[in-house]
Amino acid sequence: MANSAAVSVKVRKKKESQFSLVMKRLSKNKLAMAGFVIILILFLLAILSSWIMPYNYDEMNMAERFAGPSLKHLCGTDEMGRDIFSRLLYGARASLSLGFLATIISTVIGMAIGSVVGYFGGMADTVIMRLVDILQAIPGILLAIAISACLGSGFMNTVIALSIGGIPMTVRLLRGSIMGVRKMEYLEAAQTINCSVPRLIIKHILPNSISPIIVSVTMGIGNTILMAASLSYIGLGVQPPTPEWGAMLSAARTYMRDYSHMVLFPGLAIALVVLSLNMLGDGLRDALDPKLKK
Amino acid sequence: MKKKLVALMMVGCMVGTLAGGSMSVCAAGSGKTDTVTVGILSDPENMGPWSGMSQGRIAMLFSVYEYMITREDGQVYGVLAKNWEQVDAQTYKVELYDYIHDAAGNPLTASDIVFSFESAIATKNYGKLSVVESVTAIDDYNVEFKFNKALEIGEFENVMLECAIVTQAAYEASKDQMATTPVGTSAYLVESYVPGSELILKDTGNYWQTDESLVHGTSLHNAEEIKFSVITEASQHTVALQTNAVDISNGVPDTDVAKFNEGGEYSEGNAVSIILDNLSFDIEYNMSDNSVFKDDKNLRLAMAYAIDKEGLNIGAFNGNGAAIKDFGNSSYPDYNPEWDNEEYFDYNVDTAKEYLAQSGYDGSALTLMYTNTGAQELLAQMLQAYWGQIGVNVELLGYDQMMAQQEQYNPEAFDVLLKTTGSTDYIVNQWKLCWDARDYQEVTGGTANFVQDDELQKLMEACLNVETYGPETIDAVHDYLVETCYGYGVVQGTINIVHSEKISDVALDSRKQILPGACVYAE
Amino acid sequence: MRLPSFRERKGVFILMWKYIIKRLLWMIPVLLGISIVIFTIMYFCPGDPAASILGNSATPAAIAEKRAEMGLDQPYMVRLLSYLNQVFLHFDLGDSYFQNQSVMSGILYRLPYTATIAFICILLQIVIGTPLGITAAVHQNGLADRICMVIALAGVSIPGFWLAMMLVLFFAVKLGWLPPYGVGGLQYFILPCVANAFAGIASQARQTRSSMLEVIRSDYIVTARAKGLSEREILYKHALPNALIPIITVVGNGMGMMLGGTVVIESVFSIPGIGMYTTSAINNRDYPIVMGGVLFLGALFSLIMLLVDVIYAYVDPRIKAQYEGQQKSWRRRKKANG
Repeated sequence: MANSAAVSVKVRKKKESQFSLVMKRLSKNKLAMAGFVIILILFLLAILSSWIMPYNYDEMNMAERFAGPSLKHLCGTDEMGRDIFSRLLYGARASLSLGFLATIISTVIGMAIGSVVGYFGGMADTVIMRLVDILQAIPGILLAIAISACLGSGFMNTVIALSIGGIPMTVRLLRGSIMGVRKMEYLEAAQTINCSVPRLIIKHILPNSISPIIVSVTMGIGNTILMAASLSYIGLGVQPPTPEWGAMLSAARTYMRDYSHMVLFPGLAIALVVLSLNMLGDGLRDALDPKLKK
Repeated sequence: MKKKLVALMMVGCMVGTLAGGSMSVCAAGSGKTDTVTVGILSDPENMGPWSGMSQGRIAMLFSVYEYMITREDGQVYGVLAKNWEQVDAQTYKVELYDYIHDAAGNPLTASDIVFSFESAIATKNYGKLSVVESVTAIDDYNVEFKFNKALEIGEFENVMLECAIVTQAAYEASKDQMATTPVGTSAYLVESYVPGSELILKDTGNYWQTDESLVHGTSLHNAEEIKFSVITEASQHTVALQTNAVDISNGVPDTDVAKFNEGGEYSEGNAVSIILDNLSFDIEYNMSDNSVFKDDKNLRLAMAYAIDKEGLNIGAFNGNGAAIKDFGNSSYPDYNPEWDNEEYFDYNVDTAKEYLAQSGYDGSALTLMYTNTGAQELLAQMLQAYWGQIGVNVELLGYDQMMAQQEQYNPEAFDVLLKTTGSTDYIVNQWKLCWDARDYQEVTGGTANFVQDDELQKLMEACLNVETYGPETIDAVHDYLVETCYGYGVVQGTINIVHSEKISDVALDSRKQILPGACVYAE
Repeated sequence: MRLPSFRERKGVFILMWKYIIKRLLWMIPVLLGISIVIFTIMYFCPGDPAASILGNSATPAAIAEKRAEMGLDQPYMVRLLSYLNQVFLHFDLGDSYFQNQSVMSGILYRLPYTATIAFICILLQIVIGTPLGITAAVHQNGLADRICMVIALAGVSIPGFWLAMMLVLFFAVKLGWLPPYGVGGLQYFILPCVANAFAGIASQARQTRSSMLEVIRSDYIVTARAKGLSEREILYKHALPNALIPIITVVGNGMGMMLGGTVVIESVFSIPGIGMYTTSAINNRDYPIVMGGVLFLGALFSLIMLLVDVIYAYVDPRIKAQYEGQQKSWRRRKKANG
């Protein structure tokens, strides 16, 4: 008993130092920090949007339909004369929380399943992986469309529809990496000192398998936002007049030939988020990489 | 304004074409073409004569099949039927032409009519045929229809127009119930079909009706070859016309239509016909017992006056549609033009606010349910803003068509419903789609939107009854609906037909689908 | 890293076949599971195919009658069991409600279009994405890395339908080189494939870079370098094979996504593929097509994933070892855990 307590103290101490190490490395990476700052700013804007948007996001002005960008309307107006800049600011709430929520839900569930399965192998692996196979074998977008059609459109329903399809990917990715590392010497070392299984997974296996997950999460958030746009394209997804970016983009597509500003700005907003997340993700991956410690 | 004029002229010209008699004038030139390509938004999927309705299917139905009769501009003409007469309240007798044969050459007689109707009824795909009790062949060219009730206005015609007619011989010769190889009595036969992509029809050159004065719009065959090109993305219709890949399309997005107009970017070689749709966009209040609207006429009126119908027209249809003055619109032959000059919840924020002040509205959010297709989505958002203007808080609830269709009979699902309704014949039958409790009371206890009003029902039945149908009973329903404000029409959309100059006159059927065979072609 | 002897290799070969057969047998419950999942989703889907067939002006009474005729008024278990019976005991996916055609022939008709797009896209993804990723990893933080990643990031950030429409406007309308929509010869597939492959290329490049970096830093590459092997040799003989696992996962997933997930592209270019077939069936509530389509794609996808796992085993000696050593390691771990 005393022995294992000592080990756990040691491990926690090590983890703290590891965290600060990661942050230190991360802060040195300019691109990652830029991404981090942009995401922070976007979050801040989303939270403050109610106070800082120049117009109400659903205020129509039929006299100023399709106005191009100007000082009055920074990003122009849409087919109902609504201020696109205000809509983007307010829509950041919907888009960001949609992307983050759906991705995080699917990743957390996927990681829990994937790590257990990858570590134990055997029957647990066979049975759970078949369940995962069932889910994964249904093409993601079709699953999302079917669930959306079933639940109806709306924010939480869209989050659920988009998150379920992401689970199998994470499970497989993590399981693959864990299968790759689980025979490595340090694990056997941990086993011989009687490390408990959950701790073994969390403290030793996850950090070593997490980098592909981080890459997939950063891509996943962007993908989710884009997938929401695809759902809107098909007529599902978040309700108007909630100015979710994907929905704005999809609604604007009929006007793109003449009023390119209507697709340009929502498109840029999405691209900016995805870009920042990716820069941050790359930085995190490098910083988290335990093999870089030396 | 100029555009409107062009549109009106087009409509006028079209009607002239469809009326049939004037055809000979056009045919004297040439009016015909070797081939025409029509852009359609969805695949016909199943071209069998009696399968379920779909958007792609209605585009080709009239080119392949003929019906007993046809309806043009409110007038009814016989196609396969030479004459028909009412024997008694529930019995009709129809006489066929005695020289009909289908596109494959099989002669068509009374027994084929019986076969067609019986097959169509058996599919249960056609609600309008549920009034048919029996169809019997009296001799080779006479058919007797017995109905299970005294028919109301337009009902007999609708039965005649509901069932596509084929010969039993051709149907039984088909391997797939004519799903991909339809053989009707029209001039056209399928030349090739690539599902989801392209359908080519060819004139057999052997159309049965040789007396040109008896060939009406739906049976004309001015094009030697008709090619239906399936283009699922609306903006690709613009591209297709611009690159001359198709000759005519009704799928061009509203905003692109202007570019094909005179002086527009792609006007070279192209023309536009903007035709008002027979569909109306209507507001229906939920009048069920627990609804806020049930006993609050002031709230109903407040919201009615808060809507700028012309604003809806501009926002959703670029101003090419029309604000409407009835639950239906002026495209029906029995629409009373005097309604145009009457007050019909004309936009007035002050009036709306006054009514709201007198109402029992407590500021809670009301739900507006709609179908999330293009126009309704725009309209719903605009309605929400208009109602917000007077202080009525409205939440939007957009459903796909299936879900909306189901939820509209659920009194808990919504407070206000935005719905598209339209009929191919008379305004009273458009009203019937909401206000005739006989059709809905099983599920709603009243009209489609839960109204329980004996007076309204009495008036509806009066205007639908063949005996009493007329301006008076029609006016009575209109006035009563205005007075009670259970629901009202707001706007009428448009059908934008863009076509190359190869087509000098556009012809549409009663569902406002393009009739490529009846279009007039410039040389 | 010792190469396995011939005898060991033969053993692995037999084990592999056993494994494949086992997996194929396992596909049966998976397909059953897919059927149940999709059947259940569609069962709870609001909306009514009967109403859809009858059109907008149908009265509730007419709809109810049609429902009864279609058997839609039966309880859940009855409908599910009769569907499973039909599919798994009679190998019949049923007939579409709207199209007078069996679901199987509908699928087989549309499969070539979808498969052509998927195949070309995966090819583009591998051929372009992998070298981009390797280049980026080798020149980590250098100019080449930045350029490759900018291309990759752009690909990730652009919505597919936006890119597709831009391509149409430029190549079909402005230049008139390629047909804007429809199906026909190979030229009809160029725009859809390019539009569709972009995102795949991007994620391929990113995943390749990420796993290459991981491997490049590992001990045995350092050792290989210390032994004086050439960079090229290190890269292609040692680093790449070890970095392949996550890369193959991405390819496998991409393939799965392509098969059903080209809905938007198919819609933009009016291609009658399986994605459109199934999606419009979801909208129409044409249950037999939805269930049949998903089941078919599911079976196809399961086969692809099996292939991926077999390839895994081939490229990764560590995993290959597991097929042999599974029993042994279990016993050992148990002992170690006490």
